[in-house]
Order: sequence, then structure tokens, then C-alpha cells
Amino acid sequence: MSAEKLFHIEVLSPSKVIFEGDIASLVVPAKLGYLGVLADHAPLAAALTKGNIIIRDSAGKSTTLNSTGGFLEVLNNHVSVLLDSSSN
Amino acid sequence: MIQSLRQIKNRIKSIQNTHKLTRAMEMISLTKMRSFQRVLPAYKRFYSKLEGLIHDLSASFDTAPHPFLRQVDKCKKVALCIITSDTGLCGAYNHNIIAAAEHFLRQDKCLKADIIAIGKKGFIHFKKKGYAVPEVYTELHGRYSEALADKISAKLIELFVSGECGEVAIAYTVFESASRHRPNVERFLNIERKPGTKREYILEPQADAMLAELLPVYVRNKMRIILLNAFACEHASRAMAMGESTENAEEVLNNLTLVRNKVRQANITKEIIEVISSVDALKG
Repeated sequence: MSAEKLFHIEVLSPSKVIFEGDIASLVVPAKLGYLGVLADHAPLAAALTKGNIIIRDSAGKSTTLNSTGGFLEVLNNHVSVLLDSSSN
Repeated sequence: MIQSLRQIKNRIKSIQNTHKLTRAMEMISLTKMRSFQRVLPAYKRFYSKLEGLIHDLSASFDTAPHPFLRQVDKCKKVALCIITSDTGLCGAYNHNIIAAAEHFLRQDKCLKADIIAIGKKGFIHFKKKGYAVPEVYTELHGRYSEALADKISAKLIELFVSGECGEVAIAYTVFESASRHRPNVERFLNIERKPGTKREYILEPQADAMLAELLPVYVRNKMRIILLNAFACEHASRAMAMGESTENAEEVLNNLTLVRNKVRQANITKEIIEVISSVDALKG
């Protein structure tokens, strides 16, 4: 276990839960460029565009998800990524 | 009247066929209902997240008026979208939702309404009543697709945003559990502002642009959930109605089998009596 602080993330599409768990870092494709999130980030809301969502867990293992557009909300170490392909 | 054995046998056969049919329909509807029941929680979770975000954002920032948030105009006509089934054999499902929709229409005396019918039953009913039905979606048979939901919501959005209708309402059945369905009429557009929590968000892009992106997605997903609810109820009602007819058929079959046995017995007895009496007559 690294000493990195973790935060909770849920990646949802309208019809299913794509990813859920505690992770160390997150990179998302926001409308104005890629955006990194670590634990204790200030409240943030962003619109996402097409690209890769990179999730890294405490063991350093990273998972890449495909974003088709959607929204990101960061609030009190709880991150919600709402993916909706029709939002572009 | 005592029926002939052949007549009874024919009836038994035809009821056996009905029994098979209703059982098959029950099974099919049950499976379809379960598949909707499985996906609904995920849709609801996504939707409530989106809703929370929208209300928190509108509470935290002063945003420019968006067409979806426009005040409801009571002087203009209202568009009522009503979701019914295409076919019958689903118990009181259509009746309940049509009654709820009519109750809504009666509430406002001066109300002029356009009906957007999803499903043949609602269309036929309101057409007969003399309502204008400018848009009809039929032959869906409870088959859900996102493309369909998006098409319907696009149409409703167009009606509201163009100013043709002052309000868009939707009548559908809420799927509470497999045996509990609640007919419901609610507002689809405008989107009412609910109190949210004020927070110091960092935004990207700015609040107005963000809302302009969020709201259409929100409305589209609302429609998807509504359709899923309605279709799940349709299948559940049909499964229930067909379950009852299957039981009925079984009961009728039992009774008929009894009658058949009795008649057969009577026939045999009659024949024996005939044989015996003819033997007696021959003996003379």
C-alpha cells in the first residue's frame, strides 16, 4: 500500500455502472483539455469530450476507459463521471 | 342440455390451446419485464446524479435563462404525452393511465390540449374524444430503444422550445414493483428549479454553457426512464392478466374433464342397457 490518499470514483453511463472504486488519480478529457484529479480536489464540475479516461489505483495499476462525452463532478473526495454519448 | 361427447372433446381441445397461448404470453411478458427491471436502477442512478448536479449548479450560480427553464404559459395549449400499450390483454393498464390523463385534462377547464400518443390504445381513445393528436408512435409493443426515447424527447422539446405549447406534460405508469404500478401525470417541460446546495464549484466551461450541455442530456434521460417504467408496467400487467387467464383455463379444463367423464360413463351405461334389453327382447 502506498501512502497516497485515495478517493472514491463512480463512472456511470445511462444504463450501467462502468467503474466504481477507490483510486489514487484520475485524468479526464474535459472540453478545454485534459484535466487531472487527485484526492482533496476542490469542488469541480466539468463537461467532458471524446477521449480517454485514465484511472490509476493505489497499486499504480491504471485502467483506461473510453469517454464519449459527458460530465465530471468532484465533491468531497467523491468523483462522479457521467458518460452520455449524446451529450456532444 | 347434455352435450355430445364430441362437442365436449372439441371444447377441451380449444381451451387447451388457449391455455398454452396464455401461458406462453405470461412467460414472455415476465421475461421482458425482468429485463427492464434489471436496467432501471442503473438508469435511475445516472439520472439522479445528473439531477443533483443541475440543481446544485443552478443554486450556486446565476445563470442566464435557458429555454427549458422558461416559465409555463397557462394561456397556451398544453401538450400531453400519454404512454399506453398497442395491444390489449393487459388488464387495467390502459384504462388506469387513460383515466389519470383525463383527470389531468379536466382539472383545467380552459385547457386546450394536444395529445402526443405513444401506443395505439391511447391514440384511439383520445382521437374518439375529439382531441387533436398531432404525433403518434405505434407498433412499439413495449420494445424499448434509446433511439426511440431520444426521438420522442426531441419532438417534445421542439414543441416546447418553439413556443407552440406552453407546457409539456406526460402521463405514464410508474413501475414500483412487479405488482404495484402507479399511473402518474407529471410535467415534462419546463424543468422546475428545485432547491440545491450552494457550493463553490470550479467550472469548466462557465455555468451557462455547462447548463446548456447538461439540460438536454437530463431531459433525454428523463424520457428514457419514463419509457422504461411504462414498458415495464405494460409487461408486468400483461404477465399478470395472462397468469389469471391461465389459471382460469385450468379451472375450466378441470370442470370440462369431469363433464366429459360423466358423459362418457352415461354413454357406456346407455349402451349396456340397450344391449341387455335387446338380448332380453330376443329371448322373448
